[in-house]
Amino acid sequence: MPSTNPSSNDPVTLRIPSGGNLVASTVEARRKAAMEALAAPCAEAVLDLAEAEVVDSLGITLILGLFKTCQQRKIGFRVEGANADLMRVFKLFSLPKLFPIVER
Amino acid sequence: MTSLADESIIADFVAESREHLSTIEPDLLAMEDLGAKVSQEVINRVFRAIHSLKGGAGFFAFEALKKLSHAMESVLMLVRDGKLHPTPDLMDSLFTGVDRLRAMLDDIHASDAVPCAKELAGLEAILSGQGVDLTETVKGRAKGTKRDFDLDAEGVRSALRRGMNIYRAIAYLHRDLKDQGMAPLQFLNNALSVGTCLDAFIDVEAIAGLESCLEEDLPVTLLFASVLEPDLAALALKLPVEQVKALEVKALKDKLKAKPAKPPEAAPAPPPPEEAQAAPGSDPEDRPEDRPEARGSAKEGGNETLRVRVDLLTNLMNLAGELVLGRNQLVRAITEYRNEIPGLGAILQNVNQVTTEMQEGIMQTRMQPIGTVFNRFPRIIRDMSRQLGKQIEVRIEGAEVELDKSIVEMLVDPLTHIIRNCADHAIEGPAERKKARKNPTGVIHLHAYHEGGQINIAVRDDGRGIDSRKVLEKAVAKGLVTPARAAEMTEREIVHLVFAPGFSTAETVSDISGRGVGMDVVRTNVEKLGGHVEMETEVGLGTTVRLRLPLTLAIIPSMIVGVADHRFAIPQVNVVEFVWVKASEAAQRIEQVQGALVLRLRDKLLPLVRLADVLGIPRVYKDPATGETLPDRRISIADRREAESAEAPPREGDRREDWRTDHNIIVLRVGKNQYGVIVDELFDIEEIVVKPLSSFIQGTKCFSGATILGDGRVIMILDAGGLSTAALLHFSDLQAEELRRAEEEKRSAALKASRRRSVILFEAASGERFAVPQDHVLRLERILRSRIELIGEREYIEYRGEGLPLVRLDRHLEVRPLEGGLQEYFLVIPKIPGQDSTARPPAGILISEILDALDVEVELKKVEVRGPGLLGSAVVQDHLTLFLDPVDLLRAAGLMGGDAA
Repeated sequence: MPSTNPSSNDPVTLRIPSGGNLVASTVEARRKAAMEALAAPCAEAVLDLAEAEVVDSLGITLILGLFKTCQQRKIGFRVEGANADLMRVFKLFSLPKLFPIVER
Repeated sequence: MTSLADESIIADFVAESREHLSTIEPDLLAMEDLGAKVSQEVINRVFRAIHSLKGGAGFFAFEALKKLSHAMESVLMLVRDGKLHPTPDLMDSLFTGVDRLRAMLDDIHASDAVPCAKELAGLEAILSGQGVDLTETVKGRAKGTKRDFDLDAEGVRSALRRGMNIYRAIAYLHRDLKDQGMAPLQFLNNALSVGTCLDAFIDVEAIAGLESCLEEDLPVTLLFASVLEPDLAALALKLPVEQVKALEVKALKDKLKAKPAKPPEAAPAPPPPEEAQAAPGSDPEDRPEDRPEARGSAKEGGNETLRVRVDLLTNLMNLAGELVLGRNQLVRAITEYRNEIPGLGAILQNVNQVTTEMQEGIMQTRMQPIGTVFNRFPRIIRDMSRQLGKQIEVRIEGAEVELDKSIVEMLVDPLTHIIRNCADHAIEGPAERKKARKNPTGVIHLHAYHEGGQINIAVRDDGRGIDSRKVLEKAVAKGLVTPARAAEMTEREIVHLVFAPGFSTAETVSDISGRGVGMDVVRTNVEKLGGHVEMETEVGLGTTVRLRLPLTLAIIPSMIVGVADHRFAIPQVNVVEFVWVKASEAAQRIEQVQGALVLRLRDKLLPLVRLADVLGIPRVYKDPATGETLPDRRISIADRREAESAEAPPREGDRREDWRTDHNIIVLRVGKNQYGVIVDELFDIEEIVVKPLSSFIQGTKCFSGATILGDGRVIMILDAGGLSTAALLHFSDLQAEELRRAEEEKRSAALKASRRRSVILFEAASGERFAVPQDHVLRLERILRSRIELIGEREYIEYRGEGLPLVRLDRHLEVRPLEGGLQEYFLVIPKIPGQDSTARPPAGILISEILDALDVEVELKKVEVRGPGLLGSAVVQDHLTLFLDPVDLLRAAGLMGGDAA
């Protein structure tokens, strides 16, 4: 179960772990968890993909939904821990033009 | 970011959207006609058109356009899925929606100001009945504007240098990836295995946020370079072919020129995307095929279509015209050196050929099918039928016939006028048609076809026709024709009065059961195009209005003619033939009818005009004796003075005999009529470039334009119709005269035929000659006197096993008896009208000798000799001959009707 863990050093950063792959079978649960996490006030949200090896098209949609929500709430958003394959996909879809993505 | 979406692309979008709307109109009509039976193909066509329009509207952020088209698309989707049927109400909503979309396109930048609440309400009512919430379906479509690629100039240039095609490919994350079981990485690998991805973006504006993001099918748009052709590229990307569109290379190059080279840079900051393109929404078939910049040709030199601005074509056309003029001048200037410079002839020929082909090619680019005009009429008629409570069907034939774009555009108003009149006045209501034993549904038939280098457009209706009597009454009442003139007018002339200015007013038309409204405008517009309009009508059966039009207006082959020192061009399309009348034959071939010159041409009377007279140019002639040019004071060519003596040689200087005063006559066609124009000289046929007339002389009837000849001389182009009008030609007078002459000839032939007879000449007593018509004679028999038997008072001979009574002429007529010493005689056996030739003849007439069988042309005179069967007498072969009717004679002898025995 994914949970929201504010960074110990920076209380305004909301860290959202992927809790595994972001694929069709998991995205709905991840979406609900992310929504709950975002209920807490924060200045920036970070999606941590350290545990994710695969992100399918629904996973990308979820990431974009997360980005959009953050944008609407005027909070920052970035992705961390993406593996090389994920980075290639994100670049293909020009996601780095929308928000910062840090490779694993 | 360099945007591809500039004004020219918006203009392309508007043009394409207009095309879409005009294209689907027949399909909408088919949906209405066929209802639930309409094919999926038709619905899909309409759906795709509206969908394309919606996509483009969303892309350019024309909100009202997008909203309305989206609502229409939603309705169409339900129709396509069988959840709704195309009922009249539903179709009304779609038709009015199309009208409103069209109004928005008319001023695209003000399209949001076009009210469409009523149309939207109608569509939403339909959708709400199906449980569809339109606002729900458009939810998440935030106000979007242009979103475009970041062009990597070097990447694009490199791809182009390597001969790659540049594509805009759209992949939907759900249906193209997830539903196909394809991971994004796999999609990426597919793409990179067949090409290069130059840029991409995702339409994030379409996402509302985490709440509903998973329901959105987001499009990823790729700028993709590949050597593959479009269909193969789509196959390799595993995308529907309509989602992979080739970009126009030239447009890309233009953009690259405008874009300064910049080093590639990372974009770590999360700037909000400028604006999003239209989101696909919940429609699984939402395809961005309408992205305007994605519609160009695949690559230069390909055989796909390429959208070109009309002004560019017009400019090319003008340049081609100038080139033709230059070619003509060049050819004229250096022709005399042809023999002196080796190879010059071949070069000239080549320049000539290439110029002609280029000019034809450019003209071809401007040609448009007449269907672009025709196809709007079913809709107009549909609406009018409803308003008028009539049933009218429009049939279209020859929609593929092509005309110059300028002509097609200028035909819209005249044709609309004619068609509206057909529906409004010509076609009867269903009850009236039933009463007239017609099909309750009237038919308006539009037919375009080629004929004689021209295009004919016929608009035929099966309505009530035009009552010429009422037309004439109205025309007289309005003072358009005098009662005296009215009495002379032919049916055709009367019907054509509807084209007269001032004839056409609303109250006139409704009273006279036919055409009328603005038909003078129709005629004027068609004539402005160098065409003609004609009308044929039959009361109760219908009317046909036929427009004859040139194919193009820009460059036309024309015959150059001369009068005195002036040159004129006559469009070849008007020229029927050239007739050369020798001066010595003019008296026989040219005559005057009701004061007008006419040429007798192949038994027809051709009205003649002298071009010099019509244009007010002083006539001249070459003096045969001196060769000097002198004023021609002759009033008429039809000089019927007798030569001074038949045997005497012609007087020196007699122009009636001199070849230099032979007459050059060009026969011109104006609609169905023809007339001859007498000119002094004929030159060559040249391709002339039509230059419009200055406004100062535009009102001149006789000229349709001007042109520049090869020698640089500016000359006028004659208008065949205007010339005949200016010359006050009355074709009907000549037609009446021709009719009169034909009647006279017919009577004369009949009279001659009545005088001409085939007869058998014979003698009874020596020196007394008789003739019987051959068709009154069955047989002639030679008999021996010894075979004649006398029974009572009557002589008989055995004939075919039976006794045949004999008749001697002297027993019935006051003529001498046969000589008694003859050993043999002849028998004339008459043919009895209505009796079979094998039937037994009633009697034979005994004569002494058969002289001849011949054709004679005689007028019989009353004969002094008394007796039955005498038709009269005439002189044949210098002898007085009595003409007999043998049947009358036998009747008088009591030998007809079985009384011979």
